[in-house]
Amino acid sequence: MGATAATLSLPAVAALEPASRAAGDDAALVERARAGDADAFRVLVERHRDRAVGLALRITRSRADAEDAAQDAFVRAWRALPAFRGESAFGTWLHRIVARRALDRAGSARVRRGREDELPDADDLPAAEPAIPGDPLLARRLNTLMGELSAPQRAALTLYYLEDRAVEHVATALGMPENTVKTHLSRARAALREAWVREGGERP
Amino acid sequence: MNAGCKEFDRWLDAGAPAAGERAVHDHAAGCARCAARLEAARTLDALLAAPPVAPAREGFADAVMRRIARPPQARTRAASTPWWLGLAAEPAAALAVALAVVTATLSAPLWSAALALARRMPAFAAAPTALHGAGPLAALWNAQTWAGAGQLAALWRAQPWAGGGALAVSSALVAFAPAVLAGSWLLFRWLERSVGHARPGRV
Repeated sequence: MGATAATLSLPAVAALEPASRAAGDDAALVERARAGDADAFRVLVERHRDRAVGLALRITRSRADAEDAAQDAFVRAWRALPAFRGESAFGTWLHRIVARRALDRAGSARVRRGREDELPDADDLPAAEPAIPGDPLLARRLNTLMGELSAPQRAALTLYYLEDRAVEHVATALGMPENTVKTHLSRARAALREAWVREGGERP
Repeated sequence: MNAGCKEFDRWLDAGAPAAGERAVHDHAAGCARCAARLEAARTLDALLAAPPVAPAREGFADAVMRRIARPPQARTRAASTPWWLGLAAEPAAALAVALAVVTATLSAPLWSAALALARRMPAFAAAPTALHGAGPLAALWNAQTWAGAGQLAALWRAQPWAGGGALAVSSALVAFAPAVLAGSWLLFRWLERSVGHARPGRV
């Protein structure tokens, strides 16, 4: 985890959406939305909603909280569009907002419930796009193990990969010092790895 | 688990950086424990690299569009909220206020003792009413003050060292109360950031 691609990459990594094409399409829509075109923004919402909910769900581990956090993030993004200067892709900018909203909501939920995590319905957990063709069980297993982490650890770890493994971007996005992010990442890696080995390696 | 295994774990915890890669791979080649962890790390890395996706429920986009069509209630409410109410909502402010209340409630003898000390100063002793005013509140304050001073004097007579110590501590506490409050505030803010709680209110 967290290694250079050369070190740890697997032969078949997810066939991700062509990022450059998506970003180009987004740019035109963002320009129209900045001018007040709500229809253009709606297209952006429909294009990014599943990833936004998936990200929020990985952090909050509650379907209701994740939907609320994702909706809240889109509303905030709409209001903040005039200040969006396009220094990053719209999707990247949105992910940062979603992560912050989800982390806030996870904190509120923890206070509300009085404990860190209620066991969520497994069907509600985000179904990561298969990293290895035909391995949905591994993805589900990862989702289960993520429950052993704290919400800040889940947020830091998930954003770390969305931010191309740049700790400083994760720190900025979550409003944390870089050293705090590094600590969250280190503990999250160790906890996930030990749990993975303890529960039988790759056996689903 | 030997020293090599610990070094291997530290390398993986740090995100498997390029530095030191050769040495830890050599170690893993002869260590079943670490080989299993390397394989787990590879699998987890690949799984985590895939963006999490969860289909939004039907009506998600409609709900967002309805919300952005409404006036921004939160901002309206925030603009009309008195600044002190917003401040009171801050956890750090709540802590500081709680500390101040505890100090004010439990430290009547401390305030009394400090005032008794101050009364020894010629300038203060010469114009007590000018400093405290007149009326029932001043009378109550003075009664409380003298009660505290009386208790302190009794303690002084019985145990001079204890009495002197109490006077010094109480005076110091009262004098440094603002610094204690400010320090508590700063400490709380630092802890809040350190544990990673994202502050609300940002985009």
